[in-house]
Amino acid sequence: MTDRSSSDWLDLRRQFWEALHAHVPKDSKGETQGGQPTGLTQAWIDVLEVWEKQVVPTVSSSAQQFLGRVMAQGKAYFGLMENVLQAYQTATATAQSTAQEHLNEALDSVKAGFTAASLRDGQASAAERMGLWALPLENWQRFVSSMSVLPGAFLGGVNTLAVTDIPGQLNQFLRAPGVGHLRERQAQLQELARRWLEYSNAAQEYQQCFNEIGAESVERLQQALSERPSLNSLRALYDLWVDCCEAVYADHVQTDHYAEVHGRLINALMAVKQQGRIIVDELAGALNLPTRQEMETLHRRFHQLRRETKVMQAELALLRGQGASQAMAENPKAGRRPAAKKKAVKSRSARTKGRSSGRI
Amino acid sequence: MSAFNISPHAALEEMLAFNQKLARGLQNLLNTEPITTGVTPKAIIYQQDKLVLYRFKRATEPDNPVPLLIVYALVNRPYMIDLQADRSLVKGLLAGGLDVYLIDWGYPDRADQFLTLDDYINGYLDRCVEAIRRRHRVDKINVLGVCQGGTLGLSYSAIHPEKVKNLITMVTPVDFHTPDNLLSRWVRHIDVDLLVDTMGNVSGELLNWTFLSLKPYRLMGQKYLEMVDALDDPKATENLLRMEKWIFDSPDQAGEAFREFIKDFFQANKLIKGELRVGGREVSLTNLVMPVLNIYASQDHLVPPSASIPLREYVGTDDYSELSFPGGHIGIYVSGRAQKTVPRAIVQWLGERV
Repeated sequence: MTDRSSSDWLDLRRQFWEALHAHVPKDSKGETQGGQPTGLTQAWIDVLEVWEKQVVPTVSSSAQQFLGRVMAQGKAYFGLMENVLQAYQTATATAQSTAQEHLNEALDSVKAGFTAASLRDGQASAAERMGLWALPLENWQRFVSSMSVLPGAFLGGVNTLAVTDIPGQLNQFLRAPGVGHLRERQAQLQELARRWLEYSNAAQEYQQCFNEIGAESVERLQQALSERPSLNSLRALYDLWVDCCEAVYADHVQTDHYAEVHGRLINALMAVKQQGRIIVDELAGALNLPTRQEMETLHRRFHQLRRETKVMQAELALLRGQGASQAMAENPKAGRRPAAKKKAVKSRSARTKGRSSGRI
Repeated sequence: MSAFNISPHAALEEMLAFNQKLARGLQNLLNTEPITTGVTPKAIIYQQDKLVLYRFKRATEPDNPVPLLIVYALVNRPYMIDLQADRSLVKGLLAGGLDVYLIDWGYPDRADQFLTLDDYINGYLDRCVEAIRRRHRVDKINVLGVCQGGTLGLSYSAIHPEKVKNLITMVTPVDFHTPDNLLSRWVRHIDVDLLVDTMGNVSGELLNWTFLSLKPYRLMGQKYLEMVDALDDPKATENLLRMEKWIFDSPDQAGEAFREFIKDFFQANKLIKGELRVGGREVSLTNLVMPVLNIYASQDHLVPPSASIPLREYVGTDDYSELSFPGGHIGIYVSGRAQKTVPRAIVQWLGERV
C-alpha cells in the first residue's frame, strides 16, 4: 500500500468519524437520536482489520508487532464504547431504567458466560469474547505456536473433559498393543496421542482457571462501579476494568492450586514435544539425516573435552610455575638470563591462569 | 449504584479524540527507521564464543582508578542500561568519572546447550575479570550485577573475593522463597529436567510469556492504549519501539545453566541456605568480605524487595549499604528520576571506597 493510499484511507476514516459524531445531538445527555452507533462501531472494527492486514506488512518489523498490539487494544476500547452506547440506547428505548443498570445487566451476562463455560457443559470459554479477558490465554497460545508446527489453539475447541466416556474409550484404544513389524511405530504414535490428550486436559484446566478469574473480575468491576464516585469517561471505565482484572488475577495466581495447574500445563506440553522429538529423530535416522540425539551427544562430548583441556592448561601453568621456582632456588646467583626465563614463564602462566581459551 | 456519568456524546468525543491520535500515531509508525540499541560508544576488549566484553569510551581520564564491570542478566539484553541518550545508567556512570566495562553474553544457540553455571561464573566471568585486571594492572576490580547478573556477581565474588574490591547488586534476588515472589511459586511444580531435556536451550519465548504473565492485563493491554497518547511525537514513538524491542528481545537460555539456576536457586533456594556449589566450589555469602551496596526497587513486581533485602543478614562484611529506589524493576534504569539518583549514588559510594 503506498503512502498516498494510506493517507487517503486515513482521511476517509476521519470523515467517517466526523459523520458519526454529527449523528449524536450535542445537547443530549443519556439520549441517542437518529442513527444506531452500535452497529457502526463493529463496522469500524471490521474496516480497521482490513486496513491492518494491508498496511502492517509494509512497516518495519519492529513496528509491526507493536502496531498489532496497539490495534488489538484499540478494538477492545471500541468494543467498550459499543457496550456503553448500547446500554444508553436500551435505556432510552425502555425509558424505565438507567444506562448504568443496563450496563450492569450486560456485565451480568458476561459473568454468566464465564460461569456457564464450565467444562462439563462443553461450551467454549467466554474469555474468547472479550478482548481484555482473553489476553492471558492468548499469550499462552502465542508461546505454544512459537514452538510447534500446530497452532496454539489446536484442539482448543475440543472439550475432552466434558464428555467422560470418550476419553475413557480413547485411552483404551490408545493402550491397545500393536502387532507386526510396525508395532513400535504404532506405540510411538499412540504415546504421542496420549500425551496430546493429557496436554489438552491440562490446557482446559488452565482455561477453567481463567473462567473463574473472568467471572470474579466482573463481580469486582460491578462492585467498584457501585462504590466509586462519578465515572466521567470511557478511559476511566477501561482503567477500572484493568484494575479489577489485575487484582483478581493476582489473588488467583498466588495460590498453590494455580501453581499446580501452571506446572501441569508446561509439563504436559513438554511431554508432547519430547515424544514428537523421538518420532522426528526416528524419521531423520530413516532418511540418513543427523538426528537431535546425535547432535546432543556431540555437543556434550565437545563441552567435556573443553573442560578437560582447561583443567590441563591450569595444571600445566602450575607445573611451569613450580619448575621456574625450583630453578631459581637451585641457582640463586643466576644472572639476567634465568630471570628473563622466569619472566617469560610467569607471563605464560599468567595468561593461562584463567583457563582461558580466548583471545586477549 | 453510583453516578455513572458517561454520556453517549462524551463517549463519542472521547473515541474521536482517540481515533485522531491513533491516526497521527500510525503515520509516525509508518515512517520510523529501524531501531538501534545502545547509544554510548564502546570498544571490544575481549571475546570468547558468544561473549563480548566491552569498554565504554571516555572523553577524559577516569576519576576513579578502579574499573567497574557490569554483569547483566542472562535472560535479557544488556542495552537496557544504555537505552537512549537521556535514559542511560552507563552514561551517568561515565559522567561520574568511572571506567565502565560491560559483559554482553550474546545469544546462545544449540551448540551452547551444555554450558553450566560453572562455565559462566568461573569461566567466562572470571576471564573477563582477568582481562580487566591485567589491562589495568590491578589486583581487584569493582563489580556491579544487575538482576540475575547480580546473583551471578554474588556467586563470583563469594568464590573469588580476592579479585573484587567493591560489589554492587541492583534488583538482585537472593532469597527466592519469599511469599510475594510469584516466579518462584510458578516454577515449583515445573519438571525442569523434562523441560531442559526436551527443549535443549530454553526459548526466550517461554521467558517472555512468563514475565508478561506477571501482570498480563497491564503489560499486554493497558500499556498499548497509553502508548497511543505518546505516538503523536515521532521521537517518543521511536523510544517506545526501542523499549518494546528490548522487552521482547529475550535470548534463549543455555540448557544446563538454566537447569542449575532454576533447580538450585528458585526451587531449592540454596544460595541463602549456604548449600550452593558451583563447579564443585562452595558459594558462601559470608565470603563477601568486600564492601557491598545493595540497590532495590520498592515497587518491583519481578524481584520484590523482600527477595533482595535479606542479603544484609548473610554478607561477611561490616561495610554493607542499601539504597531503596521508589520505582519498578525497569524504572530503576529508564525513569527520569533514576537518571538523577542512581548513577550518582553509585559513583559516590565507590568514590568513598577507592
